[in-house]
Parts: sequence; C-alpha cells; structure tokens
Amino acid sequence: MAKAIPDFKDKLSRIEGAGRLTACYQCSACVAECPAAQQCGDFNPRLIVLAALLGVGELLVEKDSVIWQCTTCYKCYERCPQGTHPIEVITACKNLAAAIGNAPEEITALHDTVAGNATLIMPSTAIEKRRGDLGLGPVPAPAEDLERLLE
Amino acid sequence: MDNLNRRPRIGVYICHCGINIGSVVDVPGLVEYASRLPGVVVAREYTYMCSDPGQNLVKEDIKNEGLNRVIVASCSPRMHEPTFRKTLKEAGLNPYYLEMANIREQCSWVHPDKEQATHKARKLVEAAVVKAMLLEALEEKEVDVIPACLVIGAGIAGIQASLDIADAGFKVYLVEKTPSVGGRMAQLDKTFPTLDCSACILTPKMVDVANHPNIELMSYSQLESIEGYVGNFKATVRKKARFVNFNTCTGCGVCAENCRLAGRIPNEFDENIGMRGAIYLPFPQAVPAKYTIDPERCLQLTKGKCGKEGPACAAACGPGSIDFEQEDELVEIEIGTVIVATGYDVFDCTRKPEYGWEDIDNVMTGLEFERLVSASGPTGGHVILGRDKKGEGGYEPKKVAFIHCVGSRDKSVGNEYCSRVCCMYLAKQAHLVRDKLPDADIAVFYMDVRAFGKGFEEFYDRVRREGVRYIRGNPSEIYRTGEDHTVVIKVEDTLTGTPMEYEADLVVLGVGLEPRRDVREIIDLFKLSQSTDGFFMEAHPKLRPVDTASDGVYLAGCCQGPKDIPDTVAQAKGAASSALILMAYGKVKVEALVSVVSPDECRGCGFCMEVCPFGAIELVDQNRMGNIVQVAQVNEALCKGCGSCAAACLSGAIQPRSFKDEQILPQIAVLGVRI
Repeated sequence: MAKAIPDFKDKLSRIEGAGRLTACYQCSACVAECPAAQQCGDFNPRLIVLAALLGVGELLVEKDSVIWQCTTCYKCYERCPQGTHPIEVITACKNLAAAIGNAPEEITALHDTVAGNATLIMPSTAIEKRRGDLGLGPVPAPAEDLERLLE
Repeated sequence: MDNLNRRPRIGVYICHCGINIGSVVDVPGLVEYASRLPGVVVAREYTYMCSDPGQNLVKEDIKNEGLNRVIVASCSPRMHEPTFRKTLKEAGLNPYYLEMANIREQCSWVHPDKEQATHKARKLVEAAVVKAMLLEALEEKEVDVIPACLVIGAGIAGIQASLDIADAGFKVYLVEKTPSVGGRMAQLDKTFPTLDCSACILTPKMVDVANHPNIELMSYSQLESIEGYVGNFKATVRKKARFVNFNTCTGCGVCAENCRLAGRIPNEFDENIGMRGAIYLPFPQAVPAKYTIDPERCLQLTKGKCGKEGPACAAACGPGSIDFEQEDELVEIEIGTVIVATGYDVFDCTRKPEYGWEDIDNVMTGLEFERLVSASGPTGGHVILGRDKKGEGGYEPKKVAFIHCVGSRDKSVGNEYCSRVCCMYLAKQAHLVRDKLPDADIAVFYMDVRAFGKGFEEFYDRVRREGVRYIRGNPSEIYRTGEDHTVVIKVEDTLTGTPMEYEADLVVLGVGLEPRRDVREIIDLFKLSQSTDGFFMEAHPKLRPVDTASDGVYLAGCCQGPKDIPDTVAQAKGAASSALILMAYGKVKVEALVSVVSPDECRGCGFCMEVCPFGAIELVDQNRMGNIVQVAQVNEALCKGCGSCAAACLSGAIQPRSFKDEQILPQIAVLGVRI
C-alpha cells in the first residue's frame, strides 16, 4: 500500500506546465486516444493524474514506474477538454523521479551525456574522423554555462 | 434650497459591516478622527448601517442635529447608495447631499494590514468630508413611459413574455426573424421529463400570439435600428418581402407542391436533414400559415426566369398571391420597453473534428435527431437513416450511441460552461429510441449526469431501467471503418479502467447551447454586454437576473444563458413583469447625475459627442454675440453620467453633476495626490 503524500499535487503543480492538474475531471478522453494505454495494459494517463491528485505520488516516482512508458506523443494534450494536459503531469513526475535518482538507467546515461558534452551521443574518435573527412572540424566544446542553461 | 445657504453640518456614519470592515479597520478610532474634521457635527458607528436601526440613526440626526450633509463610510456606492439616498429623502433632505466613502471593497477587503487599512479609511473619510461640502442639491426628473413593448424573438420566451404583457392590457410588437414563430421549441419532438409533445403544448400559444388583439406579430422581420431611452424608444423594423401577398395567401400549399425546386433545398427548420422548395412553409403548424419565397434560391428571383412557362407557383396559386415585385417594408414603432429573447444556436460540431460529424452521415447532433424522431420531420418520426433523395430505402439503426458534453464543459473549444439541457435531452432521446426500436442496443457515454430539475432524476432512473447502458467515459475519437454503416467510438470505461472501441450505427452528439452566431447585431443595437461565456449579461447575477445595464431592456430565455423550457418560461414571465412595472406606473425617473454643458466655454469640437457611449450628446446652433456657433447639448434622458465626455473635453466645458472638477479635485488632493 502506497503512502499518500497530501502535498504531492502542490509540489507537482509548481512545475511548469503541470499547474492545471487539479482541473482534471477524469473524463478519460486522454486514455482512449493514448497509444501507450492500448499497448501496455498498466499505463493509463487518467489514472496517473488521479494518483497524483490523491497524493500516492510515491508510486509514480519510484524505480520502474509506469510513467516511463509514455511515448510523449502529445495526443492527450490535444484532446484534454480541461487543459490539464496529462503529458505535462507525466513529464513533471519524470523530473521528480530523476531528481531523486529513480530514472531508468538509459535515461540517466542519456542525461549525463547531454549534461557533460551538450551532445546526444558520446564523442568518439570515429566521429571526429568522419567530421574531419566532411570538413566540419572538431566537435565544439560545450558552452561554459551549460550547467546553468540546463537548469 | 435653504440647505445651500447654510453652513455645512455634516454627519459621518461608519459601518462595521459585521466583521467585514470592523475586523480590519479600527472603527472607534475612525469615529474619533472623523468627529474632529471641519464641518462634522456628529460621527457615529453602527454594526450594519444599511439596517433599519442604522438608517434611523441618520434620520434622527438630520432631525435633531440639523444635518445638511451625510457621509456613510461603508461598502461601494453601487451597493447601497440608493438605500441611503432614500434615507435622506425620507428625512426631508435632498438625496444628493449624500456622499459615500468606500471602506469595504476598496479598503478592508483588500488590505490585510490593519494599521495601513485604518490609515486609508481615515483618508477616504476625510476626502468624503471635503467633497460633501461641495455637493449640490439635484432634482430628479420623471418622464412618461410609452405603454408598448418590443419583444425580439418569438421562441417560447418571446411568446410567453408577449402574451403576459398583452394580457395585462399593453401593446406588444413581437418581431421574429424567421417566417414562423415557435423558435427552437417548435423543432423538438417530446419534452423531458414528462414526454409532453412539444408542438402540442406550444402551438396553442403560437396561435394566441398571432390572434391577440394587443399583439402585433411581425414575422419574417428584423429590427433595423433603435434609438431613444427607457420609456421612449423609437425602433425601425424591416418587414422582409415574402413575395407572397400576406393578406390573400390561404396557406393551402399548392404553390410549394408545384415549385420546380420542391424537395431540393435543405430545410433549416429540419436542421437541413429534410428538404423544402424555394417557396415554403417551414413546418406544417407554422404561424402565420403564410408561404414565403426564399429570395436566395428561387429561380425567378435569382435568374429572372423559371422554366419555359414562367413560375409554376404563380400559375398554381388560386388567389394569385405570388408577387415577385414585393419589396421590404420599413415600419417605425414607438415603445417604452424592450424584451430581448433571441435564443441560442447549438454547438457547431465542425469545431470538434475528432467526432467526424461533418463527414459521417450517421453521426448527428441532438437537434438533428429531434427532427428525425419528430412526427412532422422528414421521416415522419421513423428512425430511419441513409434514405435517398426521394425518401426511399434506408436502414434502421441497431446500435445507437449518445455522447454527452459535446461543446460543453470543454475548454479546448472555449466553452467552459455546462449547457444544462443535454443530460436530459439525451436521456429523453434514448427513451425515444427504446420506444421506437425495442431491440436496439443503446449506450450513453457520459462524464457526469446532472439530473437536477423537478422529475429529472426519476426520469434518468426510468431510462436506465429501460435497458439503456450508461458508460462513464468521454470519447476521444469517432471514425468509420469499411463500407457498412459501422462507426467506431474510441473511449475508456473509466469505472473499470478498460479502453475500448465501441461500435454503433447511429451516434447522436449531445451538442451544447451557444450564443447566436449573429449575437453581435443585437449587442450593437442595444449596447448589451456579454458574460465570459458569450451570452448576454444580466444587470446582477442574483438579484436582477432579467434586467440589463440598459434601462428598459430586459432579457428572457437562452440568450442570457442555457436553460430548459420551464426556466425559460419563468424568466420570460419575469421579464414581462419587469417591463410591466414601468408601463403600469407610467413614469420613470431619469438619472439626475448627468453631464451639463457650460455653453459659453464649449468650443463645439464634438469630441464629447464621439466618445459618448450612449449617443446622448449632439451639437446645436447657438447665437453668440450675433455669431452662430455650434455647442454641445446633453439629452438628459439618455445620459448615464459616466463622465467620458468630461475626460475628453479640452476646455472643461462639459462636466457630470456631482463629479465636477471643482468637486472631485479637492477630494483627490486630500488623498495625497498633487494636482
């Protein structure tokens, strides 16, 4: 049994985009449209918003949480009649999970690459060589204030 | 007038308003402060100044202390200025010797810091004292009210209001845009929750408005312009040409049978699912039962030629009533009051393309379905879809789905409000399907069911017992698969958490109610305001639900907001009663706080005339030392004292009474603003 955290929704709604969480009236227009809900039995954007509202947020931000199954297709964003936009709530949850180190390993690895090099893939000698062949020069060094920018 | 000559003797009354003011502002300290201000003879406090004992305090002091100015420091003048003016009047003082200091809305309600709030309250009271010394006595004028009412729109709201006013013995001009009275209610088949036949209960009233000696029914007419003010409006109504002699047409219908375009033009009354000719009666029970030629479709009128032998309608018409030369007629009427009852349009489903209404012919709106099940509709009340143009073939649906909240409670289409009728009309329509197609599978997709009215919950319960399935879920998409009539609804049953694809062969969209698409015309004519939902705004949401900000103009029915038939009738009766109050009394008080022009200072530029939102100012000739010059003149009956003119005037020649520069500038100076 998950522990309810009453101020979980307040914490979420302070995150950019997730602020209209409490407007959800559970109509499920998001679910019927969601490709992840059709393919993965336990993914349901409506229930994710409900869980956030009820404050059982621990379930959402724990390791291997269901939220990482979202394909970020933004169909729910388009259909939502209340402007709640489940995708924004899910993204906010992902950020919370990542902040406490509960993001999946692949995501953490991707994050480190971006944060460390400002690139999506690790630089390698093969890449440098190919760039040389194309006359592109070496990969530019990340900006000095990259860390601040990413915040 | 003797008050004017005496030194001001001011009474200051400070209201606690329960704890609204008292818990923030230091009222006893404020009384003490006010009592030391110049000219103040008495200063008192009371829990509720607006109560009877509170008002009596003022009256007693006027009598015993010889007060000639009164300051009430309480709520906004919008709230209680009329109350305290009456108090002054009852005590024999000119009501315009009242000044209010707003220490609630503009002080205690908005300032949490008690000390600062008290400081501001002191300043506001002090400023009011300065203003009070400069107040003038004003006279209220009365004008006669023309004992006639203009009702715009002849749906059930307009019909009911007209009948009530006419029965009370006053003249009514009922203007209806379409060829027949009846409005939306005439389009409905049955009414919820009693299942009364809509036409059966409406047609007697339709006939009554046409025959009532006090009602002049102007069908197929539009209001062209209106000018004047409460009690004395002048309106011009355009009676559109029907191209049929109204007096000789017997309504026999031979013309329509012979029209070359018979059955080829979509009938608006049937929501375009039925057909009519170019000459038509919108529906069999239409009142007046006079035919009309559609000037945009008639061959003779658009092309100047109809067949080789000339117009068939004219040849067939026994009394020879067809008249292609007929022209619009402008009629001028004088009225004292106006009731706006222009109704609603249903939600335009093209704004929700995911529901496929435009492309899939067995996805229809609730209003289209009403025409389909109506005995006077294109299928004679049989639930048959997919008929060809001759009205043959077609199929009976086996699986029918109803969808709630289409275009209501939906921010993505800009309609945040609940339309109040869809839950129940869909329940009624589900019942009608069960009645006509006993074997059909019927499902209703809902988010919430709001069965709030008298007999509604019982009816909803009855429909569920009749084997109508209520599934909680808001469909996200409706589409067609393959060649047959199957339509797929993508939806999640939220009570079991199951996403599903529900198949149906008839989908009825529970479309919500919206303001009329041509609502702008009426707004411009009457200077009405709109609420955030786009419907006309009433003067006060609780206490003045049928009045508007324009005096003498009242609202009835769905033009003010979505409502069902009983609520519409009740509001129409309310609007009629409001109009009758003015007309029965026969006189109306005109605002005394109007703008006045000092003609010698006026330079006749006309800036004030341009900014006046009420059209109250005109330029008139004035003889100035033998030279004819133009100066502004205020029509006091039209002026609302808003002060726009004074702000625009470059020479300070036009000023609103009680808010003249010499009155308000000292008041502002007290508040610490340097001028």
